[in-house]
Amino acid sequence: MVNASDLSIQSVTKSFGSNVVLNGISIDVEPGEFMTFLGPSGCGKTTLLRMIGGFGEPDSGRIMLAGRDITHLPPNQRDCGFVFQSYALFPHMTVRANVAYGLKLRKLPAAEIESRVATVLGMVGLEAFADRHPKQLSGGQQQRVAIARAIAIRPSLLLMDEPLSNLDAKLRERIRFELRALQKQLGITTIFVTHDQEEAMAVSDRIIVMNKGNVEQIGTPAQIYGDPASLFVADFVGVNNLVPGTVRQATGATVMVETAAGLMEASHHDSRAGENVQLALRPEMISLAPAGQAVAATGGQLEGTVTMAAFLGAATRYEVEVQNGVVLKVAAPAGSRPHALGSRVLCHWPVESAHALRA
Amino acid sequence: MVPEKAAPLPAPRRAGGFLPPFRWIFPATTLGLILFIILPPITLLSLSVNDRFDLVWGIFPAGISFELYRDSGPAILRSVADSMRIAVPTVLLSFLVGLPVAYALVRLKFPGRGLLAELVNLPLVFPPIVLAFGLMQLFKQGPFAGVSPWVAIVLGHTIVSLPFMIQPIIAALQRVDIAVEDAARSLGAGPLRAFVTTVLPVIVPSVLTGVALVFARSISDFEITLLLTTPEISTMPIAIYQAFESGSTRLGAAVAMATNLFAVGVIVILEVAVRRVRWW
Repeated sequence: MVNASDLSIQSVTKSFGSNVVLNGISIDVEPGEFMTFLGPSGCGKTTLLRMIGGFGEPDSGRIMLAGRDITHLPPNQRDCGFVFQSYALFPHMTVRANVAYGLKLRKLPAAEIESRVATVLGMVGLEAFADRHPKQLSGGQQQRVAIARAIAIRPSLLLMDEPLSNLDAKLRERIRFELRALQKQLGITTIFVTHDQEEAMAVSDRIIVMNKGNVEQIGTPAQIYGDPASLFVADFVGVNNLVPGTVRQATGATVMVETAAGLMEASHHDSRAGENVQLALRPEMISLAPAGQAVAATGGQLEGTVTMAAFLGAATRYEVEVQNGVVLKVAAPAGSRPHALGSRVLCHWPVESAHALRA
Repeated sequence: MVPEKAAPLPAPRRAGGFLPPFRWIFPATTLGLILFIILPPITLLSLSVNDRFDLVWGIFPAGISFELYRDSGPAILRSVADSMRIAVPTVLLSFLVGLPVAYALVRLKFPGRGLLAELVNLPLVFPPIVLAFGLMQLFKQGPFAGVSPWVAIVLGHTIVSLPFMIQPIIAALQRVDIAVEDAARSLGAGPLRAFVTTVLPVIVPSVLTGVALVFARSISDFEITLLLTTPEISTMPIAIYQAFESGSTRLGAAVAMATNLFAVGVIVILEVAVRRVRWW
């Protein structure tokens, strides 16, 4: 069932009046890749996705699917499966008729339609519900019908607009993994839109972080997580220690940043001396040791006082006040040695997990 | 004024009804309402089958005779036929014009959208006689003089009926997820096919509601028909009016009863259809 195609978005712009929604976006998606557009509402991710599906044309730029310019084709000639946030099932048709809709339009023989419908309903585990109407299904089941209907036509490209946002948290996590497994099984090039960074990390081969019509970063979940390219990305993907400072000295891969808590070393992208930056540090990358205990000399370290400790089960969250009122948030894994409120601790972290990001 | 959709009455919220001091309100108002709805047709019925002019208590017949129905039979049949010849094209035309207009008002953005929305409702607030007067000028002397009076009457009826077709369809379209059409498009349907296969079936009950309302509006129209008609066209209200005008109240009553029996029958059938056509 592999029908993988590559997608190329070339300098696409779009404005609604004076509001620039897409500001010259260029993206290349590999065949079979699971690509996620991640960003807050209003960042242009849904506009771009709809544009790829044929719902809206760019003001300039091109969209190429498998080498074919599809920029101005109507949606019915694009061969894209689209899963909508609201599922958009046909309420007057059974599950079977919903899934068969696109196949009937392709004028396939009845026997083939029947076998293809059975196959995709089997893939999403809904064989037993073929004769129900959408209203007789739960939200999760409706979601699966929407996915089955989109993949039944064996599209070159599968587009999904926040498909999990109407499900409850538990179901959302389960369908996430099912979706990922299904996509790998089919090998179908997929674009997924979400504002949930955890969801994006869980399903994607690569993530595009978008903000105000611009691409902030393209990378694997590990890259986005471990090496955010901008302050926006760091903030959006949950880095919540941001310490303001000024670059004193840039030496190759690392810079020295002067902050209220003292001079700190950090990795960087293209900072220059004298520049104002925010030093971004993930709470879970910081380790705690009792003050005075020897730790490895490499990396950053700061001594401070525990001002807050909250046991959350999987992790314990601390707030440690270091120098001059700077507070570091720390997430210590379950099983690590507890630190009492008011005790003196040493926070230490690998240099590469601290990032100097232009403020 | 315009019902959104002929939905069955919801179940009463509680069995007890009003609080004790106000218990009399419900039976009193209901009784009054029923009396004033059924008394006029009963009086007419009595008058039409009475064998003399006077009624017992002004309501009940003193003797029974179907002589008037026999005498006016051909005229009644003719007026029913004329009414249908106007109502059926009016319903069709209202649907063909009303559906795209309703769709545009709900789904499209275009300059003058607000104005159009007001314009299609104008006939509801305009006194029909005023509209009829204007139409008469257009069709009898104006640029459309020479147009067949049948066509003129159908056009006139369509104008005043359009809100009754458009409003239920607008209400139905607003309840249909806009993404449903997009889904059909992405699966390979062109715009028209996407609408016809995924939206139209869902709004059929509302379309039938519109059909029933437009039909009722058309066959009960008097003013517009009166000012645009010629002696060759005699719709049911015109026939009733002419019968009363001829000096015989009893003849008028007979024509009124016969024609309205037919009209009520058609509308009851449409109402039943609206309730039945929900297949999911």
